[in-house]
Amino acid sequence: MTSSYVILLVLTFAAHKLLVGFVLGAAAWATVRALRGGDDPVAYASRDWLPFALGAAITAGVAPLLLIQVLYQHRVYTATLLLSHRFMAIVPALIAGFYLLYLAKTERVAAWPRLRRAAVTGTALAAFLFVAWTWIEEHTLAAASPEVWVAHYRDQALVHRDVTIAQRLVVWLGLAAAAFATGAGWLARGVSERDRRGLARVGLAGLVVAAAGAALLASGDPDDVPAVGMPYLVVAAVGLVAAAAGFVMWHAGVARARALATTGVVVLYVAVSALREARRVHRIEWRPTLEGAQGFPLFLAFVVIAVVVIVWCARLVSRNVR
Amino acid sequence: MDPTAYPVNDFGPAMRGMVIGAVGILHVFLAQFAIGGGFVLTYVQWLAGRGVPDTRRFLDSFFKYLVLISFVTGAMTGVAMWLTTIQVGPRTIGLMVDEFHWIWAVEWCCFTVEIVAGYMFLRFGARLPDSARLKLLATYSVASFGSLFWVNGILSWQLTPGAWIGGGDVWAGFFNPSFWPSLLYRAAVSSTLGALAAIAVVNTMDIDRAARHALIARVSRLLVPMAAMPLLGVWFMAVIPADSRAWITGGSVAMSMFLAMAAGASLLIGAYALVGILWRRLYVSGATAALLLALAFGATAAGEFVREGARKPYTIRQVLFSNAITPGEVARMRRDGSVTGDPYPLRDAARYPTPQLVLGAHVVRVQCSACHTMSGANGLVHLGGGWTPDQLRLNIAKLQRTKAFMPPFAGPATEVEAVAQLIAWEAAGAPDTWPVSDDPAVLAQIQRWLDEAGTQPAPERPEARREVRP
Repeated sequence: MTSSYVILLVLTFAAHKLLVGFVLGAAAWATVRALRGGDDPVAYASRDWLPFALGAAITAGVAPLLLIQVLYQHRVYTATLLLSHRFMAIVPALIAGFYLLYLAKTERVAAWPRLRRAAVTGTALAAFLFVAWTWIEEHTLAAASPEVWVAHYRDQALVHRDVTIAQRLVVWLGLAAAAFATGAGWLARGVSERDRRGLARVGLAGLVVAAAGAALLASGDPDDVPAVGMPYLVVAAVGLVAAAAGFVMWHAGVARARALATTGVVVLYVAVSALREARRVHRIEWRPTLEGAQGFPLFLAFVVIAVVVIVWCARLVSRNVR
Repeated sequence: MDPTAYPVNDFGPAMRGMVIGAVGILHVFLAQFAIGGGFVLTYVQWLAGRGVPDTRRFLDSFFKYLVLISFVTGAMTGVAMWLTTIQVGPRTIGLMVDEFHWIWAVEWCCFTVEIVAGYMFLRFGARLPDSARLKLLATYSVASFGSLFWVNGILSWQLTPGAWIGGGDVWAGFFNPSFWPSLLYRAAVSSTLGALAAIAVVNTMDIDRAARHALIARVSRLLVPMAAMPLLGVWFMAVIPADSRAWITGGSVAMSMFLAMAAGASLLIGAYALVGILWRRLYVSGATAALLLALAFGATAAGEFVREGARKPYTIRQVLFSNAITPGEVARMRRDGSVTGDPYPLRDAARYPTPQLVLGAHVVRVQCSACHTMSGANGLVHLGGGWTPDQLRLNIAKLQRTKAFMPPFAGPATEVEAVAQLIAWEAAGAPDTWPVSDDPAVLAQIQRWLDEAGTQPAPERPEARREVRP
């Protein structure tokens, strides 16, 4: 039964991170584009889809937020309490970022000078980076020893310092670039060859950064990848190669390369999420109280209902939209 | 580490209950607005399909407000509720998650459908025919009501866990005694909030007054469920525990006042809606609608305050006290102490001149800080600073008899004396020196009081009330 929770956690976390990756990348692209002046179809599509993508990312994030409370309750709650007010600041940061994304879509902002336009999406991006940093910090602190917790509390520390936080952030930011490149490739209309190549380069660079971050993370701890995590590492490597090949071919204009890159990125996200969970499971104790929880069949039924209703809504729109 | 040991944060002059209250009230108001907004949208879209003028313009205008308020701040305060509950009561939310996580996961499915349907309407609504728009909005509305349905079962379980207490059956806890009155009451509130917000939005539309009046008359029909609220309120009051009912209807002046405020504000809105808007067909200006919404916010705030307060001395009735100590742990803590297993040190220990005062401050942090500060909101110094030493000792030792909504004191006589000395020291202006109180006769007397009070909460011990009768 416990494995069901872990599988669900990995899948929902990967979906959440994919959407978060798109949000970070799209906000960054829109900001850079605004700084350069003018506009392009990728920046337009980014601004257009960002509010929905953030809403979807937050909605998708609720599921892993619930599941980590089930699986690692005491650790997660302790880390949340220790980071205290600093951790809670993610809520106003997200609200502010959310409204800025809606603001960035308005015609009024589109008419602003470039620095002011860049400030809108740039501030939202800064808010999201703060949230990303804080969640990684929480994850790291939750996995720390009770001695670390007690010292953190005694010292009234607002920040948990751990070198792996930056390394993890580098991995996720690299993956974010890849997620954005593929997502924008599907969503943007009328993309020029120059922008297409630009997106492919962003995706490829993201993969390089993510791989470098992962290497740094692994080099810091000889016990970093437990045996149980090896299959996921292999799958991640396969995803990385597929995504990289896809981006290279997309850059060269090969047909269907974008689909290959997308598949590789999705595989990579799921594998990295699984690897992350395998490391955690390897290092910390399980909660023994998961057996016998009621309601799982109902949840499965509602997953099916939700999927059917969402597909039905999509078909309703696609058949009727003028 | 003890899995029940958590670090405790200090929120300055605000007690922890105020923090969750502030976030909770805002979230409940916005979430109920989102649900009522769904009702309004679906109904008005149905009218639009029948060719009622200006309805489509209203829908596009209203939906923007709904998205900007509900989809952003409403959704984010929902996440904030979880995080804030962890901040103020990790054991409480932990137990709720342990028992109901699949129910919460079901609610997440509903929420996901709500968001997807809503965003599809936002993005493609203007380019869809009326029939497709109605289907999307109805989906949004049903899904948002589904969210309320599932969350309501978990929240109402806290006050009336029902047959769950006997065997831990989740469904017995979910469909608890206050489930239906609570659900229907919240549905009526949602419909009211949606209608009032709709009236405010109609006033922002660039159409003539007669057309606005006609639209207001139509959306006002969603105020009709308010007529059932008094009955639903009585139903809710009838099914909650007798001690909770007594507590909010006279047992506590503050709670009774908040109940009166909630009922009074609702009555005012209801009277104006039913008599003024629906019967006399008065025109409602934007300012009046905003005022009615503000009144509704006040009613929501007072109502949520009463709902939270009615659970005292528990956060989960019969299972977990307000200070996150279980009834079963009280007896052990009476023997072993309440702070001996706490690995987290007192951050400001250097402030206190004696180890006894340090112990007192530690005990206050573990047992009292969920609802009290030292000298801020609900401050211990304000409550007991003027009492004599023996009065302090007696009232703390017999806490659940001092006030029936307090949990029993969960520590030995030395901890009672430490807390009494701490309050006296704070009331004296926190001097640099303070005598240590360790008279064996005093401690023996405190122990007798503790034994007399027992380890059970007051409502559980009817014999305790009989004892004081002549």
